[in-house]
Amino acid sequence: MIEMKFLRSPSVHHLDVEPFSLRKYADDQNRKKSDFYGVYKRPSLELFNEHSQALFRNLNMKSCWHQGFVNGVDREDASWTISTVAGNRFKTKNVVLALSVNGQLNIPEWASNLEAHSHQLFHIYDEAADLTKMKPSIAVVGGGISAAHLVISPSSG
Amino acid sequence: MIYEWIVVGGGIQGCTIAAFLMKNNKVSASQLLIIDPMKHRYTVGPRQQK
Ligand SMILES: Cc1cc2nc3c(=O)[nH]c(=O)nc-3n(C[C@H](O)[C@H](O)[C@H](O)COP(=O)(O)OP(=O)(O)OC[C@H]3O[C@@H](n4cnc5c(N)ncnc54)[C@H](O)[C@@H]3O)c2cc1C
Repeated sequence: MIEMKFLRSPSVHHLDVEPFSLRKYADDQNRKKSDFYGVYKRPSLELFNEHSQALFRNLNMKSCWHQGFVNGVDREDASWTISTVAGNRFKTKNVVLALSVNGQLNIPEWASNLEAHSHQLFHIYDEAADLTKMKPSIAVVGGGISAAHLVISPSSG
Repeated sequence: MIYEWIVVGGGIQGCTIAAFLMKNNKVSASQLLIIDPMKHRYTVGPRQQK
């Protein structure tokens, strides 16, 4: 639902180790000045993604990738056993959980009651919701960056 | 085999820690596994399980 040409964060925020890695990448690739925005030099999403992909390629991270959904972490003797929904098991000495909170939409109880009755209540990250089809009046509950970001598009378009 | 490191979740944080471990020679690519339901993707913003 939210689109962005430039990241919200400055160019030192990226996946690589060196703080200026993204700036250096842009220089090496002869990227235009317009790939950075404003005093904080916010990178374009396109540049950010390209830089991430380059890092991914250079480290051959594809070879480390297993497509699957983890549903179990168990301690067995001196190692961890990680299980996936598809039934794969992997043993490892160290585990990092980097799951984030975005996988499951958090819809409060009072809101889920409304949802059942109206079909007019949506979570911002509900992929099935089409905001462009919403008609006023519209209320946004929550006042963070994503809320602000969200209301710019209907009010300017 | 026993991996040295497994990263569950290949989002922004997962890929960042993976790059950090490899670039600091804490682990080689063959001893590291990143598990994620998506095919690799590297961009900000949320993604949802279908
Ligand atoms: C619209 C929007 C714009 C943003 N803009 C910026 C910005 O400009 N700058 C900035 O710094 N931050 C920005 N953020 C915040 C940033 O995207 C998050 O802070 C960041 O993605 C968090 O990283 P993460 O790795 O914890 O989560 P994610 O990137 O969401 O990764 C979590 C991963 O874990 C996987 N996963 C979940 N459960 C399992 C499981 N059981 N097994 C295996 N894998 C699993 C998911 O598939 C996902 O790939 C933005 C966020 C949004 C929503």
